[in-house]
Amino acid sequence: MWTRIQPYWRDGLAMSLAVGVIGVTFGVFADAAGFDLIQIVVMSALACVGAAQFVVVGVIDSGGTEAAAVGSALLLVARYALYGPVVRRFLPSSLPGRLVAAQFVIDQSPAMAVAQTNGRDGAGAFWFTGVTLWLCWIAGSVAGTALGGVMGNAETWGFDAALPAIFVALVVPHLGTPEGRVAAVVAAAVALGAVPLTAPGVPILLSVVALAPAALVRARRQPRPGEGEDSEPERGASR
Amino acid sequence: MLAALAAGSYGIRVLGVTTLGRIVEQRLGPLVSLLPVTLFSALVALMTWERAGELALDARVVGVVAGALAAWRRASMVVVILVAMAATAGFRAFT
Repeated sequence: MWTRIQPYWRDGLAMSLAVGVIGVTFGVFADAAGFDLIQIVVMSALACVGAAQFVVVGVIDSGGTEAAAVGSALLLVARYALYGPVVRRFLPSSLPGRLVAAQFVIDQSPAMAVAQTNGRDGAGAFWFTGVTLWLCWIAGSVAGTALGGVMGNAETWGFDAALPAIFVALVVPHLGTPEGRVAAVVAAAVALGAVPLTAPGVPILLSVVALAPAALVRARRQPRPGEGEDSEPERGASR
Repeated sequence: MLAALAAGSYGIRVLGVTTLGRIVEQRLGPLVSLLPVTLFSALVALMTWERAGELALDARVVGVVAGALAAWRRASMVVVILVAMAATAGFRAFT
């Protein structure tokens, strides 16, 4: 799969660089809150949980307990368990292979895997995006501890809009079918509706209820439930 | 504390790609193909309108709408990211 230039290299690299810059802001933030380089590297390399790392640093910095910091962070991380069913078919079947792959289950890597048209590219996109993103996140975090306030606020440059835009680009191809559109709209509405009512991390878990109306729409369109394990029928319809 | 964070995050990931993932996969059946659009659409909504556990309306929306238009016109990922960043940064600069 490495013999020719793959289209997902460019996309994976672009999103990794954007995430790397957000890693720099994490490094700056954690450094200012009194975390040392080792702690920052451990968080970015071993945990590698993006926004949840900001939560950990924020809770500790504002005088919260370690239990509260880890608890609220892990609640944010809970969604990663739901990416399992999304990427399982692209992962090695051996247990050791899966244990290695697990570390690279980051929001973007499952999304890039399902965006490919065949299983081999899906696996390639998962590994390429996961590993590149992981490296950029670590490098960004380390750079942030050194840079301090030099680069200024990443929000000035719009990097906070880069994250949702990445997923917009990855969601659009799924909107070609009625059930895809229903799932997307209901999931977004449920997640936002849950924000004021639940702890951060819970809304995205609740968004899964959007599968119910989407299933109804799909059943009305194709009255043969249980058939068509074919991976991404909606992509074909939209392109 | 950081050991707990790392172990917990890794444990959640492993659960997803092993037992829990298999159970969810079996329960959902063919619906599993709709799980990505569900999760990533929720993620877009939260990354756009949520800030520190509360709903918020800010310049991110401008970038996401611009990025969505670019994606809809089948622009590449690189273009979508740059358009979104430029729109949000531009909106901030002029407000």
